[in-house]
Amino acid sequence: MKAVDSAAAGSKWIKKTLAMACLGASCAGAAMATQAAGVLNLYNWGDYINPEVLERFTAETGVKVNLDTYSSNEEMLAKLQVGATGYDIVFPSVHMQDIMATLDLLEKTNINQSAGFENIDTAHLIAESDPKGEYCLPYGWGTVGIVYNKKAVPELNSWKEFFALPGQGKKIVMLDDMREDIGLALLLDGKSVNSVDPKELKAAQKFLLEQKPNVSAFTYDSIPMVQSGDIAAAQWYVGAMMYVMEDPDTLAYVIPEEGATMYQENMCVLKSAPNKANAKLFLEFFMKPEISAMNTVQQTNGSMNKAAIELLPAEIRDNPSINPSAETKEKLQIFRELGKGTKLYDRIWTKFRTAS
Amino acid sequence: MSAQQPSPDFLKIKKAYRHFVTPEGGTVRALDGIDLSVASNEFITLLGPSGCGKTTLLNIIAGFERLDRGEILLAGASLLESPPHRRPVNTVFQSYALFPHLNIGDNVGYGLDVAGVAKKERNQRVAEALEMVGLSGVEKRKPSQLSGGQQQRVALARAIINRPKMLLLDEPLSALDRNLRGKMQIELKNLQAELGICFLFVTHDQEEALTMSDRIVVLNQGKVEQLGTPDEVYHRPASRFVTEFIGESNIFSGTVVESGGQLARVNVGGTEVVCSNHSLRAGDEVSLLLRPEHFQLKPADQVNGTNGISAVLEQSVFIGRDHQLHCRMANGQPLSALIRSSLSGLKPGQALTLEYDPTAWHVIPGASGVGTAQ
Amino acid sequence: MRSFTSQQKQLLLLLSPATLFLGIFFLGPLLIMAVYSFLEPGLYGGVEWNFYHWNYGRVLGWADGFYEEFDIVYLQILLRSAGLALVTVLVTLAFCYPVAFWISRMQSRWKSFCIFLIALPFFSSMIIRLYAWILILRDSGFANQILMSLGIISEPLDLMYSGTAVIIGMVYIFIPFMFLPVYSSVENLDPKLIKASQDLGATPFTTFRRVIFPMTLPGVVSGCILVFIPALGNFVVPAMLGGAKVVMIGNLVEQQFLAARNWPFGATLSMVMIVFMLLVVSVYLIRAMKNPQHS
Repeated sequence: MKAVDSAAAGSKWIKKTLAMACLGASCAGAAMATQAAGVLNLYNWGDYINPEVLERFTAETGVKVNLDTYSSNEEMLAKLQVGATGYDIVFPSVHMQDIMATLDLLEKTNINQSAGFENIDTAHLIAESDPKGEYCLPYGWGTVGIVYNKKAVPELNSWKEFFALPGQGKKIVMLDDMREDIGLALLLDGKSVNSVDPKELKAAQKFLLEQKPNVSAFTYDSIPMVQSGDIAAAQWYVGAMMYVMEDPDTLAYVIPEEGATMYQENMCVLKSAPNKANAKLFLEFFMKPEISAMNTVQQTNGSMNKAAIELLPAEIRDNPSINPSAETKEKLQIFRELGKGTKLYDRIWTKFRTAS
Repeated sequence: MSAQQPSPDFLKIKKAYRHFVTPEGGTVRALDGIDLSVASNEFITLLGPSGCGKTTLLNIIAGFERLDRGEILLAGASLLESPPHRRPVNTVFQSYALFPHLNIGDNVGYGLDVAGVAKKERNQRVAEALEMVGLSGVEKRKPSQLSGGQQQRVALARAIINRPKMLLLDEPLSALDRNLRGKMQIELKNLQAELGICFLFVTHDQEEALTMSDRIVVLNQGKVEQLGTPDEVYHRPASRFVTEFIGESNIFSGTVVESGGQLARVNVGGTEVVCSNHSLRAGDEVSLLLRPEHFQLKPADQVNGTNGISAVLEQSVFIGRDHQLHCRMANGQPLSALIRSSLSGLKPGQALTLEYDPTAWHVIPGASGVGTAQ
Repeated sequence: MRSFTSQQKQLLLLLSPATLFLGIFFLGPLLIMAVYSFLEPGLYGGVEWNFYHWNYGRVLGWADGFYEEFDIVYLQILLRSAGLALVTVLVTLAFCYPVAFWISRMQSRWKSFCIFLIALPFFSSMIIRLYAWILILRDSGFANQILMSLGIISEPLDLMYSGTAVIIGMVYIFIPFMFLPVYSSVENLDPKLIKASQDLGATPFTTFRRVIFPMTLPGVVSGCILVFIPALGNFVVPAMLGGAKVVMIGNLVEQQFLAARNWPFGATLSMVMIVFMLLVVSVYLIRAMKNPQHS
């Protein structure tokens, strides 16, 4: 879902389904338990790392990199919970990192002692379980804003304008994502996207139900429809910038002025990792500014490596959608683990989706 | 159900033509100008080899196929305009075509059910029809629980329950074993007499045709070769085809040597045969036909010199009651004879003289070819 | 203890791989699901090994006392999924039944070709085929372009993300499942039986009602079951072509495992779905056993 490739994003539920099949038939040992010295096993979101980075790492260190992918935090956690071993590095979102820390799945790497960590923006050390960066290395971050077709909508700056489009006969779509949609409703109401207050959530549900008839679809697969003009605007990830840069006359991406949800993934070494030394080697390799920048250019997302940001081409570095101003950053909210509150979200989401 | 005054032109087929195009692009003339009149109480058989058009004709009467041109009248009214379900004829299908999802009672009662006959009358008529075919009390069973012969009777009962004016039977006995077939032939004949309606029976089995029919229509390549009683067809075949198709015959080709008075002498490959003179003249080419049962085996000295054929016995087969002798004449032609007597001491290779009655020869002018035909 | 004859031993040996396979890969997971449906959900996914009765109650609408109110939302979803599956069954049947007769009367090489065409979609990924439908159905898609260029409509029809699109997609996906069993029963129908019925005085409609339909009913029923069961659990089509505006029982199960991290409730929903399907199938089986002639 951080996927920049929309087809991959579109096939999310297939991957999820496969994951469910795996849960049934137990995926224990699904990952190869390679113990060989020259190997590193990554378990990452689909299309969420520049393959060139991996090639460079192998060329420089001789360590062969295997890449396996998942399409949601929950899928990755579920696989590890049923006993999958053999993975060295995973890329959890911040709230998932906290869960994994609670479950004692993460290895303390002391990566903050390594050379290059001074380049990391400490404002992004936001995991509650790891405020100093002793465990995980901040990897990438981004926003969930609006991607729109400039021919249908010349300019779009706010969620308010977004939700007003259907009234003008223009179609909008939202993500098929429980946390994003409920989170957006809370955010627009001036509440925390992590609220578990039943009253606030009731209000969020009410807002979503009001919008539902105006929303054409709930899908991850929005980019082609926006590009063709069939859909005027879609709630989508900053990864849309890749398409915006290819087709700047048609597409645009904006962080709305009300603010947006943001996501951040960190690179973490698993306690069960068979190649811990190689894993730390990779974390250190990724702190090199030119490597980090190479990845950011390909992913068109946010970087938290200050030295790497300096190396970025201007169109990315100075792009307010990718590297927003401090003022805009103030308005971004990140998801936290909800604990038992998840159940309330689930019920609200189900009820919302069932309403017709 | 006794017949009224039978009408000789009950079913009238006039100049019926029907052709098919084969997948290879050829044309098959299934009916090539058929004319036929059938009486209202007649058991008539369409006999011929497969592909002769007999099943096509039956399907056209039933309404499952159309005619290219020609006309078919039943009791004076054209049949061709009515769809199958409005025609007053019913069919007994080859392999019976019983409805496997219905029990016997519902199979037999089908015609009454679709006609909306009241339940009480319907049940009574079903019972009657089953009784008529000798199968009472099987109403609740399924077709698959019955033997082939029983299924055959059910098919009959189902076809007669609508009291058709005419019953079409499409090789209905071909799936039965020999004993049962013989028994069913008699029963069918009796049933036809009892119902007093016309039975149009299609078969390729000449024995079946000869046993049951009032008249036989011999069909070949869409044409009527002969129409006659079994006796006529058997003893006085109208063509070489009929001869070869009906019964076993000795057929000789020869040249008339001398004719005069009642008899003629014919040279058959060096052997002289005496037969009735059908206004033959010396030099005429003729085919001579003699059924194997018309030979008699006599000791050589008792044979009237001119009325015997010499032959060498090759094999003698006892076929129950009769002996079938496979012989070879002096000119090399095979010859078959059926001899009814307890023969003992006949050995292959022995010379025999087979006596015949000169008037028993059936003479067909002009034909050629040599052999023993089935 | 009784000993096996060598034949029995051979049979056991022959059957054991299949039995093992079924046991491990079918019954095993099913058993795990059944057990999980009675356990307490773990906070971060997984299960706590305590007996927990709320799962089934929740399906029926009872709240578990934490943040929840009585609401039959899950039954609504199940019924809605069943409704969509039923519509899919009826539309595929209405399409396949006449087409099966049409194809069965073709020459054999055309027959094979048509059956090949109908089975052809099996050879490519369902997702790719549904993407093709998006290209056809969207506002700027082929369907609207053709209709507009023919002058039938002036504004694009709202086909994409609609109930119509969902039914088109479902029917498209499930047609082969309906066609093949229906076709095989039609192909096995002896044409003589139809002739016999006509011969006995039945009109074409009566022949259909009393002979053709009952004789092809087993194929129709197999087709209906083969379509209904996977259609009930399908959520890809409603998501891709319907815009996921309505939740299907399949989404709900997925959501429980992957978003709500409530494995036991996901397992419970699956068990309810399985029981529902078994009910549908056994209603037919019991009817078929009581009344084997369908007359």
